[in-house]
Amino acid sequence: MSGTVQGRDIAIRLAFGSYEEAKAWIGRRSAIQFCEDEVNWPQIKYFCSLVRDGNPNYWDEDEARGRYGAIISPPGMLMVWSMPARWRPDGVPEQPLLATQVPLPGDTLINVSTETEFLRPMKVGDRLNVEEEVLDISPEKRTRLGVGHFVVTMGTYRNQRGELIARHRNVLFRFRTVTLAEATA
Amino acid sequence: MMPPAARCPQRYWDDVREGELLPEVTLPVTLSLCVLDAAATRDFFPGHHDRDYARGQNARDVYLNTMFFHGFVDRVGGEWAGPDAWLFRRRLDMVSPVCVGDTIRTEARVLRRYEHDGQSLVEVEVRVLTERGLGAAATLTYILPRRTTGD
Repeated sequence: MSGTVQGRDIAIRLAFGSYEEAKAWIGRRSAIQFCEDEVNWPQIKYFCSLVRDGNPNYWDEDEARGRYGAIISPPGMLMVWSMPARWRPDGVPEQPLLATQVPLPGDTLINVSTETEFLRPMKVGDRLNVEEEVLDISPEKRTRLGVGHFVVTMGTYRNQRGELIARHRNVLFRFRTVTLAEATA
Repeated sequence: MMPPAARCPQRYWDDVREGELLPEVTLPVTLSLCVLDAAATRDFFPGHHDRDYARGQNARDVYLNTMFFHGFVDRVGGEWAGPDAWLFRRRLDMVSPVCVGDTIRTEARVLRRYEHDGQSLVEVEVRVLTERGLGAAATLTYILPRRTTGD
């Protein structure tokens, strides 16, 4: 079973099921997903203007070339490169994250924590790929936001030469919101 | 115009003290910033741009995403560490949604300075606060250059 979280004009597809069904996903791996775009300077400058990062490795070609041979991506853009296009002429965009495909009861999600190791620079022109694995799914927990399950995944990022770029462990909370009546029951 | 070297000072491992404070960074969170966040990170999850959806999630308003905090804490650490530093590891905990109307303020300090596998490392903690308390907390591990080659 799958469903759609509808925010006005944008949809996040989620798979629904029981915790028992979800547990069968522990250890499961995604197919290798190739990132939509190459690591590129315009998107790097866009991201740096968001967080106001003036690091010359992202802005100054001469300095970056001296250190790395090319402008490099901020480490914070690792996940950005793997975001799928919102629309494609050939149909539905790629499934975004393995964690959203795990069947669980929760109708929404929020990200909780990440732990990332960066082993090589991401250079302009690189085309990354990512392979994800479900590491763990917690029993039902209640937080301030609602009741649900913590889904732990590991993403392994490589470049077009197969070199390991980063390992990224992600914890997200897949939950249903608690209504005021439920909260005060 | 200042030369690049003056704009981007480099930290050397030799000079770092445990407990050293990093400069505070503040940033008001506006709806425009959240729109820029969605576009710059290509993240169109509705909680980051749709107020009704965010409130339905028990958040006060649309809130900044994980990738914003990655980039922001890396900036806070990186401005201190300098362009020759290499961010080797980052742990980020999202504690409470940081929403439109909040003002971000950082508290950052050096937790640890050590050597491992022949590398000169420092661990920096960055706490991202708003008027309502802790929004997110990160631990950044950098490999820093040394002033002396040691031979």
